[in-house]
Amino acid sequence: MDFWIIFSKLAILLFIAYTSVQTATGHQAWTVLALLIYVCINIAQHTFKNDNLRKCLQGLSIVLSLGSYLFVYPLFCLVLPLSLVELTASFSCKKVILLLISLLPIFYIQEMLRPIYGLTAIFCWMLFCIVSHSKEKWTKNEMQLDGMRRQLEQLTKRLNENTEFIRQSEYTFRLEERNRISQEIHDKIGHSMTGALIQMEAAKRLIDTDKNKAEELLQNAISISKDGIENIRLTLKNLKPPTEQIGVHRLKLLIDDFDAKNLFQTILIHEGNLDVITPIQWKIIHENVTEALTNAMKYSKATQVSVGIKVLNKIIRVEIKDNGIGSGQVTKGLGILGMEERTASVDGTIIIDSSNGFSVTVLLPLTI
Amino acid sequence: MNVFLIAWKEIKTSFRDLRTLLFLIAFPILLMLVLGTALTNAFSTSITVDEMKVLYKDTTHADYFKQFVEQAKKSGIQFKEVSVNINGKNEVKQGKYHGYIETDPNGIQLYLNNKTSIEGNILQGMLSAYVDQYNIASVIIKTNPEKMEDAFSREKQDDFIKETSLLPGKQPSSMDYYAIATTTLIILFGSLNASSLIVSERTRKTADRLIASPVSKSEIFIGKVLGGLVTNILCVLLVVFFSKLVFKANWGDHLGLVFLVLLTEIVFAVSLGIGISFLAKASGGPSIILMVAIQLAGFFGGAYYKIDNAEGLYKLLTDLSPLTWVNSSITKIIYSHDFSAAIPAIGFNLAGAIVFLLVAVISLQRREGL
Amino acid sequence: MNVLEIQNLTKKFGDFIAVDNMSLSVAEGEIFGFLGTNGAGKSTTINMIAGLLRSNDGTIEILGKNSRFAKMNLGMVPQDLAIYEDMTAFENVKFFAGLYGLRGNLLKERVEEALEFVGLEDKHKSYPKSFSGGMKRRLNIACSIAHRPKLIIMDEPTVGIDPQSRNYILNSVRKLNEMGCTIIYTSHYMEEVEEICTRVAIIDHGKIIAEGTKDQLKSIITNTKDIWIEVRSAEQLNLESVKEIHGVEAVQLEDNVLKINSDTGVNNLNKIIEHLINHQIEIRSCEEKAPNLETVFLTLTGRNLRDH
Repeated sequence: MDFWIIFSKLAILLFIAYTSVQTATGHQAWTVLALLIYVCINIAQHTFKNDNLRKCLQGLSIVLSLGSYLFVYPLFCLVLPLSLVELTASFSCKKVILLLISLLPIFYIQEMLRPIYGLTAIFCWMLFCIVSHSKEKWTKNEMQLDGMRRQLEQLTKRLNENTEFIRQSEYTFRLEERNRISQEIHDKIGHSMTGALIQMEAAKRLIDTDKNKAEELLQNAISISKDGIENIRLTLKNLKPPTEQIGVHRLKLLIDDFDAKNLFQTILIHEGNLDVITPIQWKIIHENVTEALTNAMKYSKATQVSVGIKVLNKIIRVEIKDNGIGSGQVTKGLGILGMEERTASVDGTIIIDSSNGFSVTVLLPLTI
Repeated sequence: MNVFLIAWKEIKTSFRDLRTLLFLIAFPILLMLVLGTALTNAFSTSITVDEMKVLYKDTTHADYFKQFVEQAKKSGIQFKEVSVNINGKNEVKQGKYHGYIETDPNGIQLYLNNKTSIEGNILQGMLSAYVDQYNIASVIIKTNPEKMEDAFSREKQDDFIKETSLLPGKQPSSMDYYAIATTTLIILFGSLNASSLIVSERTRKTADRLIASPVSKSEIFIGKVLGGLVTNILCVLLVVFFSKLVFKANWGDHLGLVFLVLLTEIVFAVSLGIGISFLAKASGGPSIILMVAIQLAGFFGGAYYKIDNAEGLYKLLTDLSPLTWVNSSITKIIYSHDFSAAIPAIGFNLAGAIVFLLVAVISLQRREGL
Repeated sequence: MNVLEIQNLTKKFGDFIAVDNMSLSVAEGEIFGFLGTNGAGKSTTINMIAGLLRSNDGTIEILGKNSRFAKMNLGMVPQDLAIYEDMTAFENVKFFAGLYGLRGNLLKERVEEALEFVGLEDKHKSYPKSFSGGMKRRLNIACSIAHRPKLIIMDEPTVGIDPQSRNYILNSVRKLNEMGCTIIYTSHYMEEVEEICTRVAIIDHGKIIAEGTKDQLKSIITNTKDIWIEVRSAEQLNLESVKEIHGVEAVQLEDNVLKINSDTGVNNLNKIIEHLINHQIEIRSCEEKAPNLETVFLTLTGRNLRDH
C-alpha cells in the first residue's frame, strides 16, 4: 500500500527536479540537497513501525518542504499536500478534513503556483483516499481470514473429538447391551433350562424302573421348557423399546430443553394419529427439528418458535415456524441442504419460507 | 425464409408507424427546406456591399477630384465633405463612415476602418485606379495632349472588382449542401429506430413468442437487421430523390457511387443503434445516448452549418464525426469527381458497423432469451 | 406416451433458487395445471420449457426430443400480451404462424381457423389497439395455436379480464383439449385449475410439493368431508342412528345444524336426507364442505394461495 504513496512522492520529486533543471535557477545545489533530505526523511518514515516517530518524521517533512519552498525552490510546495494528508490522517479520519487541510496552504503560496498546487493537492488526496480505503479493506479481509482459519481449526478439532466420542460410546453401548442381554438370559432362561435338564436326566435314569415317575418328571421338564420359551419371547420383547420412546417423547425432551435454555418460547403441537409414523421418519423429523431450532436460535431473533406435527390422510406435515425477522431471500446453506437430503431420502419435500417469520415445513408421505 | 418473414414484418410496421415517416422522411425534407433557404447568404458566391459612405476633405480645390467624386457617386458611393468642426479620422474610427479621404497638393491620403475591410478594399482600389488614371493622363498630356480624348472616352469603368473563380458554378449552393448534410444526418438518426429493433420485441413481450418458435436467435437477429436496413434505405432513397427533383439539389453525375457511400453509412447507423441498445442496460438509455451522440456528430459534422477552416481541438472533434467523413467524401465525388474519396468513408463505416454488430452478437449469445 | 418429461430441473437467479430440482411428466391428452402463489416458480418453469430461459441443471424433453422438432409442436401463450399493436389481428396471427413454416393457402386457412376459434373472425382487419382486454387475450391465444401444436402452454391466460372472456377462454382450453392438444395451464386462481385441469401439481418455492388428480390431492390431507345440514329442530333425532348410515364417521348437533363427517369415497347424501325425512325433520339448507385445492394448499404450506 505504502508503495503507491512513495511512488507518487517520487513522481512529484521528479517533476520538481525536471522543472528545476529546465529553469536553471541559482540554487541548483541547494535544490539537490533538499531533494535528497526529503527522500531520506520519507523513506525513513516508511521504515519505522513506531507511530509517534512516524508522525515526527512527517512533521519534519512538512517543515522541510516549507523551508525549501521559501528559501530554495518554490515548486517544493508540491510535496507539501501528501505529507499534510499523511500527518492529518493519523489524527482524523474524515476525508473532507484531509482535503481541506491539504488545500489550506493554497492561500499563502505564490499566485502563479496556485493552480498546480491545487491540482497536486486534489490528486494526492484522491490517491491517499483510494490507498487507505484499499488498505482498510485488505486488513479487514486478512482479519476475517484469520478468524475463519481459527474457527476452522476449532471445528476440525471438535469434529475429531466427536467422532472419537461417538466411536467410544457406540462401543460402550454395545457392551452394555450385550451385558444386559446375557444377564437376562442368565437370570431367567438359564435357570429354567438347567431345571429342565436336571428333570430330564432324572427321567432318563428312572425310565426303566419307575415309568410313572419318569413320565411325571418329563412332564415337568416340558412345562419348564415352555415357560422358558415364553420367557425368551418376553425378554426379547422387553429388549425392543416402544416406538414412542424414540418418537414424540424424545422430541418433547428436545423441545423442553430448547425452551429452558433459550430466550424464546418453544412449543410443540401435534394432531392426528402419531402411531403411523415409522421410526425412520421419527429420526428424520427429530434431526430436522433440531437443525431448524438451532437455526432459529442463531439467526431469527424470534420470541416464539412453534413445532407442529400434523398427521394427515396420506402425509405427515411437520412445521417449525418462528416469529422472527425472516431472511428476505432464502439461500441454501449446509443446514438446509442437510435437511433437504434427509427428507428426500424418504421421498419427502421440504419448504423453506421466510415471508412471515421463518418457517421450515417438512412433508413426509405416509408409507401405509 | 424466416429471416425474410421477420424483415418484411419489420419494414411493413415501420412504414405504418407515423413516427418513422415523420422522422425519416418529412423531417429531413423540412430541414433541407428551412436550412437550405434560410442560410442562402452564407453560401452565395457574390458579395453584396452596403451603400458606402465616405468623408472627404479637399484642400486642392481642383477639378479632377470633384470629377472623381461625381463618377464615384454614380456607382453608389456617398461622398460628403467634412465640416470644419468634425474630425474625419475619428468619424472613421467610430465606424460611422467607411473611409476618409484627404487631398492636398502633396497627394491623396486615405484613412480606412479595419472592420469594414471589403468596403475599404473597394475604396482603396477605386482610389488607386483613379490615381493611376490620373498619372497616365498627366503623362499623356505631357507627351501627346491630342490623344487624351481617345484614351479616356472609350471605356467607362464602373466594375472596380471582377471576380473569377477557377471552377465557376461548381461550388455547392446552400440547398446542395444541406441536401447532402441533412440526408447523412437523417441516416444517423435511423440508428434510433434500429436501437429499438430488438428492445421493442422485449418490451412488447413478443420476444418470448419469437424465441419459443422454431426460429433461431441468429435468424431473428439477421431478419431484424435486414428489416431495419431496408427501411432506412427506402427512406433515404425517397429523401434523395425528393431533394433532387423538387429542390433541384445537385447530387452529381455519379449517383451510384454516392448511394454506395450512403448505403455504408446506413449499415453503420443501423449497427450503431443495435450495438448501443445491447450496451446500455436501462430502458431509456440507448435512445438518450444515441440522441446526444448524433446531435454532437451533427453539430461537429456540419449538419446544421458549414464548417470551414476548423483548427486544433475543434478540427479533431470535427474529424471524429462520422458525418464529416461521409459529407466530405460525397462532396468530393460530386464536385471534383474524386472517386477515391469514397474509399475512406466506406472503410470507416463498415469497420464501425462490424464492431457494433460484434458487440450485439456477443451479448445476444450471452443473454437468455432475446 | 409422455408429451413432456422434466427431470431434475433447476434454475437459479444468483443466489435465489427459482426452480429447485423439479421432476415432472405430462401425458398426452392431459390438462395439466400448475398451481402456486405468484413467484412460486411456475413461470420460470414454463419459460424453461419454451426455451426462453436456460436451465442450470436438468433436462426437458418435449415429445421425446428437445430440438427444433419440439418447438414446432409447442404453442406458448405468454403471461403478458405478446402481440404487435401495429399489425392487424390477421397479420399478427399470420406472422407468428409463418414462423412455423406455414405458407400460402394453408397459412391463410390456419390463421382464419385460429381467429375463428377464439371468436375474432369478424375482427380480421382491426388493430389490437381497439380491442378490449379480453379480446387481446384471445388474440394472444390465437397467435399460439394457429400452427396446431401438440402441446400448448398457457401461463396465466386469464389475468385481469372480465368473467365473460374468462369463461370463453376456459371453454377454448377444453375444446383444444378435446381436439387432441395436451395443455399445461398455470394459474394462481384455484377455481380455474379446479374447473378444467385433469391433473395438478402444487408448486411452492420452486418445488412440486404435491402432484396428482384433484381427488388424489384432496385425499392427501383428508378422506372425509363435512356435510352441514341446517334443520328446524332435531330433538326427536337419534344421532346414533345417523352414524349407522354407510360412510358416516361422526355426527354432531350444534344450534340446529347437523354436522356430519363422512367418507369422501361414499356418496351417501341421499341416504342421509332420506333418513332425516323419514324422521319428519324439516331441512332448511344443506351444504357439503369438501376440501378444495385451496384447502390442500393451505394445509400443506400454511399459507393462502393469494397471500402475495
